[in-house]
Amino acid sequence: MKSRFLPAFFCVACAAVGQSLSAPRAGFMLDRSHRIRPVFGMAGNFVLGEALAGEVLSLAFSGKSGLAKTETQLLLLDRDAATIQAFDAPPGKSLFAFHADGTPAYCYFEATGDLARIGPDGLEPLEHPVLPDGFRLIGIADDNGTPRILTADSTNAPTNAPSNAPSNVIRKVQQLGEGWMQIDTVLGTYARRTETGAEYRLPVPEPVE
Amino acid sequence: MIRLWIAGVLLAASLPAQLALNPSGTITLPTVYAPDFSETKVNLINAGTQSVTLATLSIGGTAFSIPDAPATPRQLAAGESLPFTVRFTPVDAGSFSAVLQAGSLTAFVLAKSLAAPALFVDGGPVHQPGSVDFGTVETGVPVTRHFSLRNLLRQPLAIGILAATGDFHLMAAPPLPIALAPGDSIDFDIAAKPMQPGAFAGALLIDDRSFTLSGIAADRPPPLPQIVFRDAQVKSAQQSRLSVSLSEPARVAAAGSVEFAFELLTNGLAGDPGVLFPASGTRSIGFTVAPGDTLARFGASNFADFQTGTTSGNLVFRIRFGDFLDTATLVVPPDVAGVDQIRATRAAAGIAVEVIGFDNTRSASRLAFTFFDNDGNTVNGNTVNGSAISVDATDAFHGYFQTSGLGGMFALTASFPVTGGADRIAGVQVDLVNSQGSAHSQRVSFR
Repeated sequence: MKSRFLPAFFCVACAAVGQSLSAPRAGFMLDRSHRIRPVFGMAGNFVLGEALAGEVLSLAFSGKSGLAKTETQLLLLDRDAATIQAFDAPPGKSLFAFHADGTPAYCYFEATGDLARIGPDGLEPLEHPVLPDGFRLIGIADDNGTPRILTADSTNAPTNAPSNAPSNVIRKVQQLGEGWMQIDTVLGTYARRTETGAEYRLPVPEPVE
Repeated sequence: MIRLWIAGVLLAASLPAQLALNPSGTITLPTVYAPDFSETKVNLINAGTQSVTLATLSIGGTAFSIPDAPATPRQLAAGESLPFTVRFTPVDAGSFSAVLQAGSLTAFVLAKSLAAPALFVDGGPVHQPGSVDFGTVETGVPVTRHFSLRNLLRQPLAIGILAATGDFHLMAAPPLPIALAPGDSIDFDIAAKPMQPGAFAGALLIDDRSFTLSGIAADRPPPLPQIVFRDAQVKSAQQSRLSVSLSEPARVAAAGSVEFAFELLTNGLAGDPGVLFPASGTRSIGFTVAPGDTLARFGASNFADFQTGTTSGNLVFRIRFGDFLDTATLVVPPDVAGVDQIRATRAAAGIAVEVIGFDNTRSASRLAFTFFDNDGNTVNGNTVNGSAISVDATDAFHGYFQTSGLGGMFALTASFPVTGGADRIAGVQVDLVNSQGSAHSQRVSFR
């Protein structure tokens, strides 16, 4: 019997396994009262958690970090949706992009049409991009640091149109968490697994209070 | 003696003074539209103290008759009253008379008729004063009956008024005035569409004649709904789909709901919040039907998706539609654990494996991790082709499921300190054991 040694040694502490059990979190989404809510679950089974911070107009999560837009501020969030930094920002809603490693990359301010790079020192305005009408998402930044702008009807945007929902009913597409996109349509809200394209209905957040 | 007997018989048979007609003298019947008929009741009374034999009861003239005339001879006891009907059935307009003969009693009968077309409904005659009953019909559904006016007289007729009132309306009637030669007829329909349950009424006016029109409207029982499942068998962590079919197209707009309850198969377990309709976020969802629908509408769709959760149990669906209530059950059977996703990552201090999955029995016990090198050989401990690294996590899972409140879902992160050469660990496979057996994940590559 052939046997060879590798320079690797594994050690598993049984007790540690118990400490690492947790609720599976797919990401975060906004409810109808503009509050951040964790989305627990997996393919075919999603449950919304208790509401967190409120008065949020736009939200996206990469799984490692989050971006939230209130009326006057852009918030950088950690993986648990706690605020790390806050920047003054133009009013209104925003669209967000993350780097491939999940760190914040870009923010597009819908009201002013300004696009800004998100850095450790704050927002760095970029030249006004030419955006197609009706776009819904700034996707994950590519290797050159350029935000991929995905539109609801773009042919090069395979991840932003659910196969069972025509593109003209899509209201918004954004990142829900690591490996998940959230697609809001007039027919309902879907979670789309980025890797496989499989889609599932997301539970409707509770009604506006 | 024989003479006395004959005299007695003659006395009994010849006592007209004992009999009387009421009314007496001249009997006048109500004026009637030919060829309708009118009737009057007449009483023949034996006012004497002895019985009398009535030999005949008749009336002359072709327009008169006694439809209920008794067979004669007939014995009338003392004080007995014999009612009968005198009917006047003119075939033409004019004044008519006849003699009513009751034994030796006579009375004059007078009657008058006016010219008018005869009314027929669905082929049958309707006499004045007459009514046409449309019967019991369904609310909101039009009902129509066919009418005709025929001139059965020997003279031409003119109709100046032909109208339906109340809840009824005339359909396909010829324009007025209408001239009807002897033997001619016209046809038309009368329709009603009662929108509320209850009685509906009106009248058909033909010149100065009026015929009552009536009917009863009743709500039809709504069609029977039935829950139709897309999947006859379901399992945990599944978004399945149901629709509600109707036994026949809906006639009116209506609304209902489908609710479902979750019955755990294992005592002592907490519920499962994942059992819900995503479209409502709850275990209840409403639907509507519009006229003509054979499938209920859930918003813009003809179906409703539902989640089966991550706990074994019975999904008991209850449909409510009007007074109808029915249930249907889907069973989510106990199963081996399900692994939805494995994320294997390298870090400076070692490697980490995150397992996202579910155990619908909440009885997970043992975990086994099998690592692979770039050549696909198993790598465990410090040997190639070694056995899997096994962990008894019974207590850990038990404690987690006691408090998680999320059904059978879990995310498990296992960290493996590695001394040197972690980059040579290329993949991992995870086995997870619960009360139903062992689940084997696919091999996942490290990132």
